[in-house]
Amino acid sequence: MRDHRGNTLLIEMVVVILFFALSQTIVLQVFAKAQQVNRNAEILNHAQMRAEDAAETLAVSDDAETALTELGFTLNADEYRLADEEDGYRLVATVGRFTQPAGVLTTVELKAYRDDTELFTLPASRYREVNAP
Amino acid sequence: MNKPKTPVSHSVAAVFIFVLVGIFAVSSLTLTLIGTRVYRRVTVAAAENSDSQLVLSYLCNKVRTFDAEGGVTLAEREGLPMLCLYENIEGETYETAVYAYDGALWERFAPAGDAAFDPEEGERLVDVQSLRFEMLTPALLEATVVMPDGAAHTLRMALRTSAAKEAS
Repeated sequence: MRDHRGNTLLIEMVVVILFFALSQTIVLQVFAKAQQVNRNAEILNHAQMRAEDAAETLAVSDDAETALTELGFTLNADEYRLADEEDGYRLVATVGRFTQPAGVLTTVELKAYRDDTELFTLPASRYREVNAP
Repeated sequence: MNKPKTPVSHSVAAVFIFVLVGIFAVSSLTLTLIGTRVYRRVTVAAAENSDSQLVLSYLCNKVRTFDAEGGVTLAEREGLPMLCLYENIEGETYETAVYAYDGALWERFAPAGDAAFDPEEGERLVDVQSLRFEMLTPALLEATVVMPDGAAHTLRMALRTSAAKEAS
């Protein structure tokens, strides 16, 4: 009788511990996910701030290519690229130019990527009249 | 036929239960410590992110609001570099000065040309270590904010209507 009770207690203990072990696994996964979400938000924020700085600079620059180079972008197959090693994102800028009789419209499309995932697109443009000083 | 249990097998079962309970206690404690650390890290990072965004958004919105002919000026008073924003209210010009003083960001609203400048007359907004402004080009303003944790953030703002002036 006493043996039977002892075995039951042991099985009960094992079941309870298994249940808690399962709960701990789930909770640890949630913690890891929370940390990852937080890190992603931080990276997105940094990328957005850098892209906004680039867009603001381009909005007042007559020569988009020179401005991008000064911002640290490097030309790579018709695209200007800027990689942030620490945060792991990269900005890709594509310059377009539309010449009209009255002036030149320069458009720059800034795209942010992390791995192969596109984070956001930020357009910037600058119109310059032909006879502008 | 079952063998009667010896005292040795009894003690093994007791030790096994004890070890199981011990493992459970240790893993629960570890989990609690990890959870505390993760929670603290997430909340601290979120707060830092929020504070730096608050300062940058504030500066950006201020400059956008006052971006008019002669509306945005850089100045230095009492050794404090500041952003001076001007607006005309009922025929009188008022100045909003934004500066870092005593470990915080301050905003002071006063009639323009007010000779007596006391940095403590302004309104304390949010904690920052330092704030610096620079005109990169006549139409591009850069603000560098160092937050209390030492993290530096820069913000560039293109002036749409006119170039800002650097006053002394």
